[in-house]
Amino acid sequence: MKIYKLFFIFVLIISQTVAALPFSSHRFHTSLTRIDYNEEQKLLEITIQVFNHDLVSVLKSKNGKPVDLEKTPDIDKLIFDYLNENFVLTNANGETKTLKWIGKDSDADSARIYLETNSEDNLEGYKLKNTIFFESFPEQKNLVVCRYDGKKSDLMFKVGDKVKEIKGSEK
Amino acid sequence: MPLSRFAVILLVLCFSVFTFAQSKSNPSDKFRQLEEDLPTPNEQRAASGAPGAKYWQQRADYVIDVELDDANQRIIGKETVSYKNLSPDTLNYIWLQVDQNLFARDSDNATTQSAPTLEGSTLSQLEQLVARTYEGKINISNVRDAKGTPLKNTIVKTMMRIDLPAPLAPNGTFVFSLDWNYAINNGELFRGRTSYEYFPRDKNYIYTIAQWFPRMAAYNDVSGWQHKQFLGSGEFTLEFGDYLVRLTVPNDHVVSATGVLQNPKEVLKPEWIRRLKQAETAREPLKVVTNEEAKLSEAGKPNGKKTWVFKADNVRDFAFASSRKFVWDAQGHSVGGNKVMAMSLYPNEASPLWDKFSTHAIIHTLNVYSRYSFDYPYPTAISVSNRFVGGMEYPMICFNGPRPNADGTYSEQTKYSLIGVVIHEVGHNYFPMVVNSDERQWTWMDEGLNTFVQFLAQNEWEKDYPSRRGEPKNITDYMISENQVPIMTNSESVLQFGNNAYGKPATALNILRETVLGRELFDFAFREYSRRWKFKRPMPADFFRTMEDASGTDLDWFWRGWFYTTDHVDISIENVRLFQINSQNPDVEKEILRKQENSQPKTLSQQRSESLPKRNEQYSSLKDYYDDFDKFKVTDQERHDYRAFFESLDETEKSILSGGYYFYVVDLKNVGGLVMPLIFKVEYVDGTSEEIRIPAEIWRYNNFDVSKLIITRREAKAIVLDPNLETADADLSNNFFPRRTVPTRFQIFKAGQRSDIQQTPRTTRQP
Repeated sequence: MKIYKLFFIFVLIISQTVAALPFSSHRFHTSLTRIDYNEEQKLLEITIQVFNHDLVSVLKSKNGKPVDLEKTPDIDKLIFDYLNENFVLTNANGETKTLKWIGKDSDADSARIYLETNSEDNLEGYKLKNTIFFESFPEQKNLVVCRYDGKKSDLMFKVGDKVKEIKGSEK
Repeated sequence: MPLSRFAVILLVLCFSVFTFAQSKSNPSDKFRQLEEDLPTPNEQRAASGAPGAKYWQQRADYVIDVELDDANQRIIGKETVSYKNLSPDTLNYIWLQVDQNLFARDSDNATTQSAPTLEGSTLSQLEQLVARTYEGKINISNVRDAKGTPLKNTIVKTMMRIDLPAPLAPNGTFVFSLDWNYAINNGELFRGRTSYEYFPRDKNYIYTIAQWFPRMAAYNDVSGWQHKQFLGSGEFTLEFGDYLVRLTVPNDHVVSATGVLQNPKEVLKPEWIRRLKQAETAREPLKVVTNEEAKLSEAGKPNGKKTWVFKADNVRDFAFASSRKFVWDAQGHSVGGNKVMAMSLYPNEASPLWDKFSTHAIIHTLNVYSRYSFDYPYPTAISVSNRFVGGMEYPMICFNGPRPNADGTYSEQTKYSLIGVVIHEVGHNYFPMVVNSDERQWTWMDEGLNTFVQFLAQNEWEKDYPSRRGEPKNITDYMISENQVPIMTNSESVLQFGNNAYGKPATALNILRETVLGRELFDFAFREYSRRWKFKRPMPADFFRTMEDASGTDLDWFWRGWFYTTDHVDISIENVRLFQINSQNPDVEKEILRKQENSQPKTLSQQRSESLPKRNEQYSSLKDYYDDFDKFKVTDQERHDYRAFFESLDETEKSILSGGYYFYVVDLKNVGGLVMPLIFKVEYVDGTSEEIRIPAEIWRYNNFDVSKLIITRREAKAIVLDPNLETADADLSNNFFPRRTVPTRFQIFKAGQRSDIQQTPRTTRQP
């Protein structure tokens, strides 16, 4: 109990320090995820877009040493491990979907991470946990756009949010 | 016959009643004029979007003496401000911004953050807590008028009010002075637009200092005093004025700042002055302070202080950088006859990336931006390296983050980050340092416009520059989302800052230029806006109105859709119907009828009975006239009648009748809600193709469903909507007739991965 309290104080102070970060070319912490259901191949196709800068700094603090998105040999595994902790998709029966790493690419500012998972059914009733970068940036916002069977479901995760249900409405 | 005509009329009536009813109950008139939303034009802001006949703005001139205490990382300053009231109003008090209070422990920025997650914090993050012994609050004292009489003042978080001893009448000037000091934030722990970077290896600092002195808040005709608290996102707007700043620093520091150095002989080594002179006419950046000199300097210690004197005219702010670690390169450049010194200052840790790209990127920015707006009006343009600033702009000087690896190598991303951020931050000299829009209120007015011109500049840096913002296809995933606010939203309430205030407005302007107006009309109007509002303070309506006024185009639908709503672009080809003229020529038409009949499918019974023996084939006596009659055979009488009919026509009628025209009616649906021009590519059976461009006004009577007639003399095999990906259409699968399967970005990537099993990793470029 005592340890718990101490920990709580720590985190509060983080909010005052790391919070004061915004600056011009990178004054926002966001991710944008798109999930499409490929009915023909029974696949959920997932693209997660994050800022290179955020990804590098989070993996660095997670890893305890600097990482380079191009040069670090096991960079894909580091990213995938991080996502498996912070991006968890559960089907309507409560079973966690196993994500498959497809790859990543990047431009000057941001990286796209491509993942997929087999699914007999579309996304309706699925639950998503998306806590990407929440431990690092108090103002982080994760936007998720789902499209399946002519339906759409958009979710917004901000720090404190955990699991949200995907409920489609007509496009 | 009368019956069917009646039916047609009835149908049309029903349809028009339906559409009328829809627009009445559900006001979705996307072409409704913006007048009701924009402020009424007045004497300050004209209906054309130009400054009005009685436009006014305030003025503030500064004389500042400041010392940088390198031992304790503190700023200690005194300033005298001459505030000129050019407004028609009498002022009883004035407001100043004290942005440094963002770093106070009890600042709103710190206290209004929502709760972070408690799990997963790492030890290195916990380590940062130790540093919150830091108190960045500004200490202000000795606020006095020109005679030295103390002035009553009140600090309200990041603002300060001074109560005037006597009301300040229009055209009056109020002179006051104050002293202040504060502790500079360590950029590694308390990031921000201003900070120091500490180098543990040689125990030196780079200071990039901004938003550092009490600055006169803007007072304007639209919102009065701009006293919105600084919460950290909305940057600032200030008044123009002249600055004389005397910067006292350790005598082994090199200083760079807004403006022009007044006393080079007192602070620069003779060889540096000589090299600066050479740099004025150099063809490549030339080192004023070399890498070796900087290395020597960082190993040394100061033995006194030096005062660097800078003067800057007609600027809206002043920033500076100071360090004994600086390498300094420079190259003179002329923009429209105005001589500019482009300079970069960076530590050896930034070499060789910075030596190679920074000053080149500055000059490139001046060239391109000046072409699209106005000639760069200032004598210097400077880029300074601080690892803990992503990138931040001030008049003539900006601070930029990207650095190479410790061994001097750098990734492709780092290279383009540096080039992109230098272009962006130097570009901010135009918007908002000269075109003085209010970023604390409307972020898009400078970030959006600047990101747009940055995109143009990057396109001229190298072929296929990997720009993230500007290309329509890059914004579609954001635009389809429900969780967004319109571009016209106050800076501190914007969700998804990057897409909302940078990406979407930049893309909108790119589309306005390429697709809606065309480059010539757009560039004329954009330049007109920039020149009208140069050294003045525009509001959103001034931009919207100028772009319309100068291009001679009603763009209200465009501003309404892109800036005031969160609709996205998704236009669908629902159906294509083909009509052809009945030529009346029996040789042509009967052949068509025959083909039509033969192409009718045979029923199952017909197919199965086909091989059965037929009685009338066994007994020829059963045959008569009807068995041989060919209803598609053309008779002489029919040919004669046709010739007579054809001869009766005049030449125009004849050419239409025999012209072989195809009439394609394309039925379109506006799925996304944002109305946009229609761009068709018609692919013909003969292998040729044609592009047809229709203005967005096609949607003006019905915002959701329209049909477009395409007349050609060639048979089409396919029609494609938005073939050049220029409208940000979010769903390409409904852009084809006949429908095509369009792979998503995901599927394209996946296919590339599979076919390329032995993929070589992208190598890190050696410098």
